[in-house]
Amino acid sequence: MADLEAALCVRGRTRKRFLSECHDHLIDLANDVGPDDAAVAFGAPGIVAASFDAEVATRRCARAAWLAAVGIASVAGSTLVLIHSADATAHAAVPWAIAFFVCAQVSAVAMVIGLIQAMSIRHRVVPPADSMLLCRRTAIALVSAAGTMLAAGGALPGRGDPLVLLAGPALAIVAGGVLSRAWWLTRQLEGAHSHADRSPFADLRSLTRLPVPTLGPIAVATIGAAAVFVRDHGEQGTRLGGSLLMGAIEAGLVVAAYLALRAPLGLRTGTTATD
Amino acid sequence: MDIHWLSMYIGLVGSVDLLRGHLDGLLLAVLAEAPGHGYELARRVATRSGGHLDVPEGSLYPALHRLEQAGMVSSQWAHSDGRRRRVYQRTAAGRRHLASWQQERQTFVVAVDRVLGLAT
Repeated sequence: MADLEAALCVRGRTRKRFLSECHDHLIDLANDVGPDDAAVAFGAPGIVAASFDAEVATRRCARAAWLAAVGIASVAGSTLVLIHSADATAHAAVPWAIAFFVCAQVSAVAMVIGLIQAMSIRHRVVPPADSMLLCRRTAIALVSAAGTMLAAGGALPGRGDPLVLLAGPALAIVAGGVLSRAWWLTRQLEGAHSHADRSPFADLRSLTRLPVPTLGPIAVATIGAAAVFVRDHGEQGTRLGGSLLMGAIEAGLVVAAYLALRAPLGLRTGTTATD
Repeated sequence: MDIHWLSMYIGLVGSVDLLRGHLDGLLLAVLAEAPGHGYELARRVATRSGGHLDVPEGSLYPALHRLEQAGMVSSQWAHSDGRRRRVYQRTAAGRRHLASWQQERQTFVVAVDRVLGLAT
């Protein structure tokens, strides 16, 4: 038991309950087969502790990803209220506008791939490096969401209902707290600092059992550029040259964001799920 | 997959590599008899398998935690043999999961038997 206690990283009520159950189990087992055989049958303390830690870390990281999605959706709502409360004649400065669109897209992408990962591991335990990757994706999504709201506020100062404006950030802070707890546990586990890559397309295939194709950054950038072009030219009636330029900027930003964030988001091309 | 993790995982499941991924289903199956605490469940798995499934008993608790988090089992403290024990009980979600797991496993076993020429 002393070895098990020393090896276990998880703290609080979960730790207390696990140790109590293991203690009871060992007493029963020792009564049946003797103390030496009981220790062998129970398993090596380091391995049992690492297995339980990894299980708890996986569940905490997945829960943090779901809570972060709620927080990010709330921040998006607060940001929309902020934008709509701005003076109708106000014009956003270009750097704020770029920061807004980049942060919003990075946040949405990081949140979606994090949620796909969280769904794909819901009945499984993953190596600590994969849990760490989920924490990183969630953290990037939350920080980018905060950046989105900040950029919107910087671009279009206005006055809105303080409760509505603060509700989103408050929920995001709660999600951040849950994420910190999951991160704190996961980072202590052996193997947590190894680099992990997980293709969201591979996760989607395992989730849906459909032949979801793997899209590279160029394909994603092309789809993004096409969407921006259609929206700009078709819906807003911008001239062809202007819409093409907007599409090209979008494609450039997607590629730049991919190059900057592919390592922390675990998206290096050609890699698949690590478990 | 990280090599250390792989060796640890295999070590945990031990020589019963066949058990990998089956532990959750086995626990849900033995919980169908009656609610029970961890030690009781380990004994039921051993008895019902005729002693062939040699699971390191410490590995039950991470599995029970996972099942509880997934809503497939519920647990509560109860007094048994003069001691306070955590007793597990299968939920409706656990019943459904077991039925689906049994179906998948049956399909898999039949397919393997056909390939091995064991199917009648």
